[in-house]
Amino acid sequence: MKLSSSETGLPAMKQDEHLYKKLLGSLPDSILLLDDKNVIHYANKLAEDLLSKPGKSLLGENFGIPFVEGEWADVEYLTSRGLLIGEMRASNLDIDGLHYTLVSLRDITERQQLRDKYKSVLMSTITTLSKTLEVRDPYTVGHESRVADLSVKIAEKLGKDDFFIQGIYISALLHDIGKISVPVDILTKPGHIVDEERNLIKTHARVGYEILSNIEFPWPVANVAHQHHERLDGSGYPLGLKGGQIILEAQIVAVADVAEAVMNDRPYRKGQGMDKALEIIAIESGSKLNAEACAACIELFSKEGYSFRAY
Amino acid sequence: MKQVSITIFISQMNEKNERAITELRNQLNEHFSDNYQLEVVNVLQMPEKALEQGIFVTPTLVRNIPEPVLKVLGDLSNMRAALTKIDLIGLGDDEVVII
Repeated sequence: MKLSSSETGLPAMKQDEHLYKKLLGSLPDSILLLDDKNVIHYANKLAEDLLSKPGKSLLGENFGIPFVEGEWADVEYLTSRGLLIGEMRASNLDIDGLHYTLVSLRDITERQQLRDKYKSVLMSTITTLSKTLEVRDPYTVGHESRVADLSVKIAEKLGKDDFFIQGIYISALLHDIGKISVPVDILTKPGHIVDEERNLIKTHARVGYEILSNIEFPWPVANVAHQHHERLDGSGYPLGLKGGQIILEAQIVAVADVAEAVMNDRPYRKGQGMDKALEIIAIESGSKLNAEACAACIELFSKEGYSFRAY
Repeated sequence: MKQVSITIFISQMNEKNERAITELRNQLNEHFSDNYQLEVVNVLQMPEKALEQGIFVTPTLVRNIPEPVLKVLGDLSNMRAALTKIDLIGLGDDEVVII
């Protein structure tokens, strides 16, 4: 609402300037107006309070070129209150034929800290769930963690982004969670497994899906548990999915799962070593397993010195 | 004297910054071979350096040489684009702009 000049006693133009300064000053964001050389031409009160050096105005300081590719850029800014986490936005303005950039910095420190806390709680919960299996079946100690680590490395080699990699890490940590429903004496049985027992073990993919589909992850975690034994030629289980019907995350975890399972000891056999594992992966590459993921896995072990960690 | 001198100001060594620094080294190697100097400054460990160069926000990339000094800050995930902002890499091609 614009006040009339009779109410403020100020001439109209002065009154506008007064109003705008007051408005900008009351904003919860730090606002800066940069000229075409990126020199600070205007700073609202919050920006001055937070960013200026003691006893020195921001006006005339060179801010630099603000570079924002999406809607905002995640930044930290050095302030009189310490280091704040912020979102920086920048937009171009043309005023009376002159070019300016309007920069806003929003303090999201508290929000970010809360987000980090939730993330840490989520990761602890997932790790605990994953470890629960190991208590029941000592032969799988570290299996989930090793598969998760290798899956991440494969995904990185395939050029996947951070979000995908975070999802594949969590999915791989939980891919065998359905084994919780398989009796311990079958999971740890040395020697030959009969068909009935094998069929019971195979239910872990479906059970894992049922458990995990109750959680609203931003990644297809439940589907990875469901599909990590599916094979490109349709020979896998539980659904006999083929090719592109199997999500990429599950295809990557399948490669890591095979590598880990062949290399390490199982109740019914000793670990068969890296050469055997890579030989199987090379044979199944493209027919049963994702060829790019297989190539990445082979390169990691044979050329880049990757090895599974002991847990 | 090196052909190019660059300083990157960060406030922590996290994955995002590690990637930005790796990509910065790749770009500098590609365009200037070994004829560049790169300094990484953690502003929490060396606040006087940040103050001296008028750093308000991290990450900030500063082109010290060639002069004039230019700063770009904010989203450095696309390092190539960031380097074009401070005229170290030509737009749309691999030509190096030496000022």
